[in-house]
Amino acid sequence: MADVSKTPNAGAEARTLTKSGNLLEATDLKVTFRAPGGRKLHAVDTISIGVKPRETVGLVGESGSGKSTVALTLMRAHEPESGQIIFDGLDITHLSERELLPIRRKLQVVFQDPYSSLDPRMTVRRIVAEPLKAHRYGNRSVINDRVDELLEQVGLPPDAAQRLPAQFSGGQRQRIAIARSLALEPMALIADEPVSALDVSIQAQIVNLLRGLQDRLNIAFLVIAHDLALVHQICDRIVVMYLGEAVEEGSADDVVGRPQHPYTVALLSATPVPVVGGDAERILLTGDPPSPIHRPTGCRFHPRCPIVQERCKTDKPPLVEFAPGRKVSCFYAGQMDPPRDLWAHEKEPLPESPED
Amino acid sequence: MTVAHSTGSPRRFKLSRLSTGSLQLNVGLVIFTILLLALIGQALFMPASALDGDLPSRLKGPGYQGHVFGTDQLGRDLLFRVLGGLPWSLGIAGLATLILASIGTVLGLIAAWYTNFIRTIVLLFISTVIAFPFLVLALVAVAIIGRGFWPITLTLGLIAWPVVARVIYAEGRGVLTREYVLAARLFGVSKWSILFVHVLPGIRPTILVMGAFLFAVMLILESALSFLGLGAPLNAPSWGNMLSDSRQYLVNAPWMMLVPAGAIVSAVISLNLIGDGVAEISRKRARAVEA
Repeated sequence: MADVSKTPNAGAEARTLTKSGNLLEATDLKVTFRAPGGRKLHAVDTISIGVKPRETVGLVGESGSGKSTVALTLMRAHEPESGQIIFDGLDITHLSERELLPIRRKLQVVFQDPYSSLDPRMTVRRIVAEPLKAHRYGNRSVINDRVDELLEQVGLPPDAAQRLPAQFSGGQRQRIAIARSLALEPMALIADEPVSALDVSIQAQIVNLLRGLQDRLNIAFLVIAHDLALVHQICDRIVVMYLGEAVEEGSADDVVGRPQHPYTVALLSATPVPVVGGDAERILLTGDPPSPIHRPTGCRFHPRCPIVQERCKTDKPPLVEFAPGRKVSCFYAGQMDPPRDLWAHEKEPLPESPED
Repeated sequence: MTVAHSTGSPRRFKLSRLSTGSLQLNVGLVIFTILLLALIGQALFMPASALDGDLPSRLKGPGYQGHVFGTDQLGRDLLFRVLGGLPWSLGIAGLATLILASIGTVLGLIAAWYTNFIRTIVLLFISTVIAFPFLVLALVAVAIIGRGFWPITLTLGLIAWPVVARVIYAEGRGVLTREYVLAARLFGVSKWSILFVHVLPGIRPTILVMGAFLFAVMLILESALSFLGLGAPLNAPSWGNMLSDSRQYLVNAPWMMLVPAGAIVSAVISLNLIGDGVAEISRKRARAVEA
């Protein structure tokens, strides 16, 4: 039973897609938590998101926008209040933990903080082998070989296996976490802020590693991030979230190059740009995002919107598909000019720098 | 060095290899090992007659006719009596600690694991048991099941566990909220695996430290119960009984008090040193591991 060895050939495994061609698809996902006093906290409010095979989708928003909740709900760590999650042709919304086991093999996750997502008492070999053992990947030597192979894939030295996470830097730890997530050759990988806990100099390496692995292993990616520049670098499509709702969606170049929603425009202008004199015309949003317990009426963004009108305070703009694959929820979409045209350049690979 | 040399020489025993790196722990372990060896030694080699009295040589001071620690009011040798008390003291306290650590760990982990009504029930149960005054419970228990080795062991073990359960509950919750536990769950690792691979190793230092301290507390409580006449049978050489006997002869034969008291103090100190040492080492290790 335990001696069944697997061929490391992810591409050969058949994937079942939804009608719209998605491998992972969430429809009208709604997640609420109970806040003190019996009130409801609307963490995620009717989000729909789809990831096709080999595609990278970015989910962007500031802290508290509910993007991590979306990730954890897709992994079935939170129970959705309503909505549907379909993965590999199977409705996984209400599967029990036992029924989820084969799904967990194909859908994996990378966490934000490699300092807390690795057990400090376990050696790297045991950490990376954990999912393999859980899914009875093979006997000890098969698992050991696989761990060595994975460590090499993510660019760690072979002697890393015997060491503890504390003996590695943040970037190397995230490599360990990635190796663990890739161990079972998943079809899809959800990365929750995979680089935001790392030094800026290390971020590029991890991003490049993820991109390279996707090309090689044929994985669908859902990347959760707050950094639009990063998401633009690695994603095919972007969904922008604000206070639990999707406000804009479209291809990465289009959302960044021709943002329609004032919130997207503000997010873009907040991204530092490495160009002399490029910091002109910054749109500053005033105040914090409103509480998901007491949400504003009408458009959720109206208290902070620079182009707010009377109508926005009472009516809620629907998410409208104004071009194929391009959605926005704003009555005055496109009426706010992006502050500058610094995003027009083509995507280029990030410079490769030596490991920390 | 050459390969031939290293394979040819037998591994030499080095005392330093046994050292733990903490002076407290080393000293505590040495004293405790001596006590354990004495316990085994007296069980194997001490004849039952060694505990017999010899009325003509009653209340003699240390050194009298080969009585190293002197004799008591019935002329019984105090050294043999204190050795004979080892199973009563160390045995009862050790077994009681095992029982209370097991119950406390299991219940604490159950309360930490479940977030639903099971947690509420277990926590209520823990609080209820904590609320009972220990000595009253012990009195009732001894009144019902009587005196003797097992009654005291069970009384101590079954009453003192809530402290452990409380601490393990808090510690366990701390470990369970770690992201690596969530990660393991999302990778499809089973509940039992998470428990044995992540949670138990995470709370092991706490169990060890609490176990050592509670061992000492149990030792004192066992002596206290015997002293009050609620513990070992009257003739049994329990350290508490010996202390109880010594009260009437404090002025004439102070060694009758000093010998069992010294035994209790050395055992308690060794256990406290072990507890402190383990705590110190696990703190150091945690710092090295988390950094």
